[in-house]
Amino acid sequence: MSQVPPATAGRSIYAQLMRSHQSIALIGVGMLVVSLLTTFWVRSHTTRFATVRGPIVSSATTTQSGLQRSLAGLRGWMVLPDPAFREVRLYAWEQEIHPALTNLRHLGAGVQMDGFDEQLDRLTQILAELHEWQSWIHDIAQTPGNEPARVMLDRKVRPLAARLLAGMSAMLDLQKREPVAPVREALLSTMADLRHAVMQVRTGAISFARDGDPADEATIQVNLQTAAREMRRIEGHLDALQPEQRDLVGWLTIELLAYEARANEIITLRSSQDWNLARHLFATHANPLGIAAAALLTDLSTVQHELMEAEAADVVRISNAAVIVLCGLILLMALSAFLISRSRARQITAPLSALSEATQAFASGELSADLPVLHDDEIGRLTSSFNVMRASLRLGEATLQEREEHLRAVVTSIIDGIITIDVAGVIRSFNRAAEEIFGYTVDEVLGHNVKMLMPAPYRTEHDGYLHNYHQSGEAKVIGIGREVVGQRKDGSTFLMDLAVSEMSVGDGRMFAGIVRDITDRKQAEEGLREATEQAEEANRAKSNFLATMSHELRTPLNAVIGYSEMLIESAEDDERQQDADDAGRIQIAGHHLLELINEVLDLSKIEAGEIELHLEDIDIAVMVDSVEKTVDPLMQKNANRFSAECSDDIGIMHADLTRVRQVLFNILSNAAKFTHEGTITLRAERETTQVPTTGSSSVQRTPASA
Amino acid sequence: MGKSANALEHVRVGQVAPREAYFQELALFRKANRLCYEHTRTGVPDPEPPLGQIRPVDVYAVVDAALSRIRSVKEIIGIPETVEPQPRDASKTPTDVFSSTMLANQQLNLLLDQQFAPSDVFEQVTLAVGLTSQLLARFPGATRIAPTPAYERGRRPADVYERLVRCFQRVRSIATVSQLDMGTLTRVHSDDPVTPSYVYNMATLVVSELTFVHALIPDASAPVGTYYPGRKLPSHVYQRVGILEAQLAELEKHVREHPGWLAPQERAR
Repeated sequence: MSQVPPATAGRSIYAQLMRSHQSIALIGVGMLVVSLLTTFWVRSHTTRFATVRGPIVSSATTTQSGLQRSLAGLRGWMVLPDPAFREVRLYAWEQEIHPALTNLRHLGAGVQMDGFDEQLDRLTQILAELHEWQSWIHDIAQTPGNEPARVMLDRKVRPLAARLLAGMSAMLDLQKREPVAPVREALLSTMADLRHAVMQVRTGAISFARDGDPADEATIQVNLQTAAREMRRIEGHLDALQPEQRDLVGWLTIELLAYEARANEIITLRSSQDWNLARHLFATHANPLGIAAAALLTDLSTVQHELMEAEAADVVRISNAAVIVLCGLILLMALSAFLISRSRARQITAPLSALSEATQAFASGELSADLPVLHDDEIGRLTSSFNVMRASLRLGEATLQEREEHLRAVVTSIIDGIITIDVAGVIRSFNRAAEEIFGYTVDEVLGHNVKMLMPAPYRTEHDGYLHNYHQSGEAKVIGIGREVVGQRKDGSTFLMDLAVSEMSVGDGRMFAGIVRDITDRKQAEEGLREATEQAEEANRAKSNFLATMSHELRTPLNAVIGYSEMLIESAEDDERQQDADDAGRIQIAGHHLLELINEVLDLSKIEAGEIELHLEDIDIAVMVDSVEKTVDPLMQKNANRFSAECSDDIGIMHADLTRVRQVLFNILSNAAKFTHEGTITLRAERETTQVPTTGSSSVQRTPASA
Repeated sequence: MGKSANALEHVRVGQVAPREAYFQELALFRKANRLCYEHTRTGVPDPEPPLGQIRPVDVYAVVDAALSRIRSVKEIIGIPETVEPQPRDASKTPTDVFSSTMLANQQLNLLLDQQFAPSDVFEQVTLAVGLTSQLLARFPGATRIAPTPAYERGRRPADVYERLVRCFQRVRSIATVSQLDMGTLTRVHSDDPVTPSYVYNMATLVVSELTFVHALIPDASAPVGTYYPGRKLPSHVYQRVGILEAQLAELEKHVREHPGWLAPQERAR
């Protein structure tokens, strides 16, 4: 037994275990708290990533994408009036920019960042202005007014040119009517040059308004100068002109001045920066606003990106630190748990080990004294309980041993053989009576199959029986006593009673057979059977005797009775009363004898169960009177007095007359026989349901009849 | 095309301020300038807009410019000047001037080879839309330019006129909420059909009022300039006035929510 550690009074194992587990749990909780705090920190950052930073960047990107899309759509519309460009622009505003801006405004509420709201306000304002300018540019781009030079061309220059050319044509037509002269030719040439110059100006204006080519501008200017010069030449020949031509010259001069002014306006308008209003507005308003908005969005995205990167770096740093701290805590927890557990386990298991060793010693029978109780805890109580259990087991063991001896004595002394076998039929016990019955010693049969106790062919039948029983559970012997043939060691066979019962031993089954040699009993039964047959034979002889006697005796008795009746009648006829009386006595005696014979036969019948009653209505008074007369001679034999007391109206009874009379006669004859000089009374009385018949004697009866 | 088939109710403007008269005079000048070009092939730009508050002298300057253009026409046509300058009548009010100008406008329009057409009204309405969008810019989140309503075929100048009258009433309502004085409109029966010229005058009136309110906002951006929209039908103009009407409704809603939206700006007639 190991050394038992000193008692730790007042500290139960429960408390020690609780403290041990709580110590470990405390470390675990501490680690979890650190982990939780780290997780919360990381969660707050990742949540901000997911719900604020990321969406802001996404919304800013969406806004920027929509912005570029709207500008691209507008550019497309400015080039080509395809409604698809308008749809692209409207889609960008309605599906991208405005929703994203609303989202940014919503997200901005959750951002604690200086200047964010101001940036957003500024962005909103810029986008509103941009939206408006885009609308205007869209509105202007495909109108004639988008290019004022062309408006001037179409609405002023072309009509003026048309009128000028028409005026020139009229002048030429009039001049052609003039007679051929040098002046006429010179004027025609001048007018043609003027007309050509006007046409060249128109052509140049058209080209310049379209392309803005300086060469076209030069063409316009040269031809305007030519036109002015030629007009002045014409004015220099007014005298050579017809009055109608002179009016035309005046009109053409005004028109040409207007033409020149408008052509110069075209040059001015086309040369200005805003010759194309839409492009100009795009360049001066929409594009700067788009750039400003893009810059703001980039700024927003950049700031959020930088914040995200900074926070991501923090998250990585804290996560790494958390991993290191948690690893350290895990190691610390493992080490602490190991040390604390080992210490507590030693404290707890040392007394348990001692108790275990004591238990083993007790099991091997080496422990004869109580264990010392050194702990005021569960171990101490367990040790005390162990000591109590040890004492109880000792006591129980002795009791069990005594009972076993008693049982062994019973089994040994019992006259019936008791054999136990296992499910394979192997003999497991064999008592002394079985040894005597079969002639084997117990050592000779233990471990052998029980078939050795059976002669052929029962041996093979036993194998089949066991197999069937195991398969079907159908019992042919178990619980049912039967006679079987056994075989002794010397090979002789004998009849025996066998009663088999099944019993459970542990997890298995066993069968107990109680056998009894019934050879002697069988012999006794055979003797009894023979005696019975002899008795039955004697009974048959008696019956034959009685039958013979009945026939042989009753025939002469009936003759005696018949002749006595004849004698009575003859004597009464001859008035020989004495003879008649004697003959009467013979007759009575004959009847009595006949009755005795009948009684013997009746007794025989009673014994044989063959008695028959002949029930009839009997007049009691007549029957009593008949009995009185029959027994009267018997009464006189011992000087007895006999009186029959029976009223005439006593009534009738339903009975066998012969048997009733026989009963009364037997009773009275016994009374007469055993009474001397006394009075014998036969009294018949009527009671409620039956008629008791009593006989009384005034003298003392003999002891034998008492 | 472009001429109303029915004589409808016209309106009479009351409690006119110099600014309203100024813009009517400006319309008069433009018609005179167009007339002058048609006859003399000469044209001049619009007078420079006055700085700050419009005064009667500014109105006078425009009237004088218009008169100059008409005299040029008379001169080239050879009509001698027979109208003697009238003595100054102190009893005349800007409303009288306005009414006279309206009448002169109608007469002058009849003299034009190329009378004022829906495209001219379209330009004025577009200018009004630009002005209103600048006013709406005062309210963050407001829709500056309303979506273009559906095009409705067969609209007449009278329909445009009615819609513009509603716009004027809306502007006046805004002015009232903003504690600004503004002229009144009174419906009067007229046998004259509503021509684009009439509509132009009404559009000009609306523009004048919006310009007035716009001028009260010191940091307001200038509206987009006018541009020739090309040939337009009354239905086109009606559609554009629909934009203006929606804008004014939105502006009135915001102004009613913020009646002091012009404070602390100085309000003056």
